[in-house]
Amino acid sequence: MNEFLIFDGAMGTMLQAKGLPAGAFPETYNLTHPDVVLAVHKAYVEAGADVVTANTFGANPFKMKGMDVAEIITQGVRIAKASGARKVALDVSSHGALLEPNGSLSFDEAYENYAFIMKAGAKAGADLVLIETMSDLLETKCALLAAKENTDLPVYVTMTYMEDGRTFLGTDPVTATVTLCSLGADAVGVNCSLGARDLIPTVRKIAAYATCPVIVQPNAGLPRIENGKTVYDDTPEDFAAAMSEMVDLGVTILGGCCGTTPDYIRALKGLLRDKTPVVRDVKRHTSATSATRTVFLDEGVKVIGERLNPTGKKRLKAALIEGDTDYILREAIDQERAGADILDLNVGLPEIDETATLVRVMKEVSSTVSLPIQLDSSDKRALERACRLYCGKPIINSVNMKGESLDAIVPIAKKYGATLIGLCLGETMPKTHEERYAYASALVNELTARGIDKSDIVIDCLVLTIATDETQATETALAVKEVTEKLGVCTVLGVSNVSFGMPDRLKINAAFLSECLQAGLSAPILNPLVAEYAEVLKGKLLSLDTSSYFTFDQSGAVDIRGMVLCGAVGGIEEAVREALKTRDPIEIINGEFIPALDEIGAKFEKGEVFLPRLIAAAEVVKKGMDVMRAGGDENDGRPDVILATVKGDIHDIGKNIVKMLLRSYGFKVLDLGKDVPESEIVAAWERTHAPLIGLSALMTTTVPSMKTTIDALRAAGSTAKVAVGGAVLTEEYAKTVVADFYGKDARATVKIAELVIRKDGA
Amino acid sequence: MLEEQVIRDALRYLGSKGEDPSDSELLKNVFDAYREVFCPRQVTATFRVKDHEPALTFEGCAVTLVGESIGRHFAGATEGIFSAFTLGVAFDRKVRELSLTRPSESVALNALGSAYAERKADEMLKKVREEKEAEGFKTNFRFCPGYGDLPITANVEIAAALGATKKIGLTVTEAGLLQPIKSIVGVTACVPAER
Repeated sequence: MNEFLIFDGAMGTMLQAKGLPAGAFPETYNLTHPDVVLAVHKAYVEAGADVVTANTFGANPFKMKGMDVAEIITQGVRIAKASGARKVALDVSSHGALLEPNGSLSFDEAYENYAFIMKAGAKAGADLVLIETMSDLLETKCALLAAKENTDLPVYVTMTYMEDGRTFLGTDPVTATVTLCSLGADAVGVNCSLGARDLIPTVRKIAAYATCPVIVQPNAGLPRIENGKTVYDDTPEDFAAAMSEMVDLGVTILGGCCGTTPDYIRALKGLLRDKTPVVRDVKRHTSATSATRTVFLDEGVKVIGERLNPTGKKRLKAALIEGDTDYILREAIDQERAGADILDLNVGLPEIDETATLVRVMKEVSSTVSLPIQLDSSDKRALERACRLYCGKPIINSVNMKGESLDAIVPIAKKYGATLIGLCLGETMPKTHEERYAYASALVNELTARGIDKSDIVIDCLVLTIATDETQATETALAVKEVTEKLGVCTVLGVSNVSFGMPDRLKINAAFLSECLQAGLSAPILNPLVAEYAEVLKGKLLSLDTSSYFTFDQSGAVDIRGMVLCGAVGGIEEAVREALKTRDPIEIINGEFIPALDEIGAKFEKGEVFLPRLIAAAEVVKKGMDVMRAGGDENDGRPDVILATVKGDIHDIGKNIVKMLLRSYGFKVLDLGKDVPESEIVAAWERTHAPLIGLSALMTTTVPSMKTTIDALRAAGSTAKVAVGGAVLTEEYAKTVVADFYGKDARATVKIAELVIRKDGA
Repeated sequence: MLEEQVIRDALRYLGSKGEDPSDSELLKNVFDAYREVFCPRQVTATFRVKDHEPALTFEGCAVTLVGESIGRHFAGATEGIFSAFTLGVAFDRKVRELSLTRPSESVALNALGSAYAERKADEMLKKVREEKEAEGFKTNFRFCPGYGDLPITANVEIAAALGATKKIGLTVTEAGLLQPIKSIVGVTACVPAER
C-alpha cells in the first residue's frame, strides 16, 4: 500500500456519551436516532478519517432476534455514506457465543448469519468489510469466508489481544496473521485490546509475518472506572506518539477503538502528514497453524505424528467405527506430549462416512491438543469440508501429478490457504532419484501455475520398501537432497514405509531417518513415541511424560486388588499380563477388579475417600481391562449404556465421571457428548437398543430437556430404562421428568447399571 | 499460593470430610502443576437504581431484573454493582485433556477451579465494594441469576451491559449458560448507610 488509510475512532462509547444505555444495541440508533449516528460520522470525517465504519458492529440476526437486522444494516451503511467519507466500511464482529467445539454455535449457523450480514452490507453500498474485535480464530475464518463468498469487497480483519499477547481463546498474533493472510484477507491486524503503546509488541509480530497491509485500531488506553464512569487515560498526543512507532513498523491502515474520539483521529491525521509508508520485507514461510500455534516447516526439523491413521492399527480402526473419540484423543495427546509438532489425520475406512468422520475427529482433536493438523485423504468432499471447518492453516496430504488429483485437490488448497504436499507420483511409479526429482519439479511448476504459492508447497519424495528393492532408501534420500537444494521447497517422508515387509523394522526406519535428515528432510512422518527415533532426532523428541502430580500412597499396591485400591496406575498392566498366564479374564474382573472398586466405592459413599481416589481406582481398572482387550476379549458392538448431556446444556464433566466409572466396571458406554438433541438420542437407541440410557443436566433451565427427551424415547417405542443425574437434580425432581432411576452420583449410576443389565460376566 | 479456604471448598465438592491430610496435599500439587490455566478476569460497573417496581431497572443501562428474590436483595438500594468473572477457556481445555489422560487430576482440577473462581471473584469484587462503602453505602453479597426466582437468562442482559464478551471473553448462551464454564455473573446491592 503506497498511501495511508485513516479509519475513524469509537462509535459505541460515543453513543453512550450521547445517552445510549449500557447493554442496549447501539445499532438500533440507525433507526431511532439516525441524526446522532450521522453527527458522530461527520465529526470523524472532519477530523480527517478517510473511512468511516458503519454502525453495524453487533447487527447480527443471532443477537438481535426479532429485529429487522437487514434494515438496521442498510440504514447504518446509508448514514455512513451520508457523512461524506471517502469510503464506508461494513462493521462486523463476533456472535458473542463460542463456536463448536468450544461452545455450541455451529460453524454453518454462524456462516449463515455472516452471509446475511455481508449481503445486506454490500447491497447497501459498503466499500469494504471490517471484521473486528475477534477472539475466536475459527469464527473469524467463518466471517472472512462469508465476506469473500458473498461479496466482491475488500476484507480487513482485526483481532483483539490481551496483556499476555493472546486472544481470550489463546490465539497469538503470528498464528492469526499467518492463517488470515492464507485465507486471502486484504488487511490484517489488531483492534481494541489495550492502549496503543502496549500494543506495539503485538504489532511488531503482525508486521513481521503479514503478507498484506497491516491495520491497527487501539483503545485510548486501558479503561478504568472513575466516579462510576469509564475513562481512558491516553491523550490524543500519547495515542499519536505510539501510532508513530507503529507506522515505522510498516502499519499503513490506522484508526481508533474504545475511548477514542475525533480528537485522536485529528492527532493521527497530523502525524501522518509528515510520514510516508514503510515498505516491509516479509518472508513467506512454509507453515501450518492450529488455533494457538504456528509451526514453520522451513525452520528446523519438524515431526509429523503418524498414529492417527487406521492402516494396520486394529484398535484405532475399531475406535473410528464405534465412535470411541476418547481413544483417538488419547492417541493425539500422547503424540503431543512425546514431542510431535504436527499430527497427520487419516480416517479412511470403507465402513464409514469419511467426510463426517474426518470433520468430527478433526474438531475433537483440534479442541484437545494444540498442534496443527495434516489432513490426510484422497476424498475431495471430505478434504473440502475439513479444510473449511478447520481452525487454522492445515496441511493437505496430498496431491500427485495425475490430472484428476490436481483438479480435485488444488482448488481446495488454494481456497482455504492450506499448505499442500505434492507426492512424487504420476502415471508411473518413480524408482530412481532422478525420476522422483522430475516429478517434484513438475509438481512445483504445475502447482504454482495453478495459483499455489511456492512457500505453500511441500514435496513428498515417496518412500518405497526396501523389501523388494534395496536401493529405494538411498534413492529417496538422494531425491530429498536434490529437491531441497535445487527446488528450495520443504520435504516430508512417511519414514516407516521403507521397512514394510522387513524384520527389525525400527532399526531400519531409524537408519533411514538418519540418512534423510542428513539429506535435508524437513518433516519426517513417524511415530513420535518410538524411542529409537528420538536418538536420531538428537533430543528433538521428548520421552512420553507419564508422571502424575497426583500420586497416592502406594504401599498397599502389592497385588492387583491393592493396585486398584491405591490408584497405582504404573504397574497394573504388567500385573494383569502376569495374572492372565494362570487365570481367566473373567476371574480377574470378578475376583479382583469389581470387589476392589466396590470397596473403594463404599468408602467414597461414607466420605472416607474423596472423588479423585475413586476415579484413580477406576483408571487402574481401565488400564487393566485394556490389557485384556488386547488379548482378544473384544466386546460386541452394542453398548450397554448410552450417555448424553441433554439439549441446551453444555456441562459434561459429571457425565464424563459417570462414563469413566461405568467403563471400569466393564460396561460398554456410547457417549453422545453434550448439548445433544433428543432426536439424536432417540436415533442412537434405535440403532443400538442399549438397555440403559443416562441423561445429565447441570442447570434447572435444561432439566425440561430431560423430560422432552424421555417423552421422545417413549414415543419412539424405546424399552430402555432411563437414569437421570446432575447437580440440580433430586430424587423428587427425577420423578417429575418420569425417569426410571435417579443417579445421585457416579457410584449410584453404576449400581443402577448393575440392576438393569445384570451382567453375568465381563 | 492457594488459600486454605479454596482447598477446604474443593475437598467438600469432592466428597471429602477433610480427615486425610494427604488429600489437601494432592490438591495443592495439582494447583501448582496447572496454575497457568487459572487466568482470572473480572469486569464490574456500577449503575444507579431507576425503579424497584414493577421490576428492578437501572439508569443508563438496559437491564431489567424480575422476581421477588432480587427485589428483596435490592430493598432500599440506590445503586447496584454488576460483576462478571471468568477463569478463562484454557482452564476448560485442561480439564478436558486431563479427563482423557489423568482423570483423577481432572476431577481435582475441576473442583479447584470452582472453589478458586468463587474465592477470586469475591476478592476482586471486594475492592469495588470497599470503594462504595467508603462513599457511605452498605453492600451485600453478589446475587447471581439462578438464585431464587431470578431467571438464569438474566445473565444475558447483565453480561451485555458489562461488555463482558469484549472485555473478559465471557459468553452467554441463549439459555443463559456461561462459557467458559468457570464463570460468575451477579449483582450486588448498595444501600445508603443511613437507611
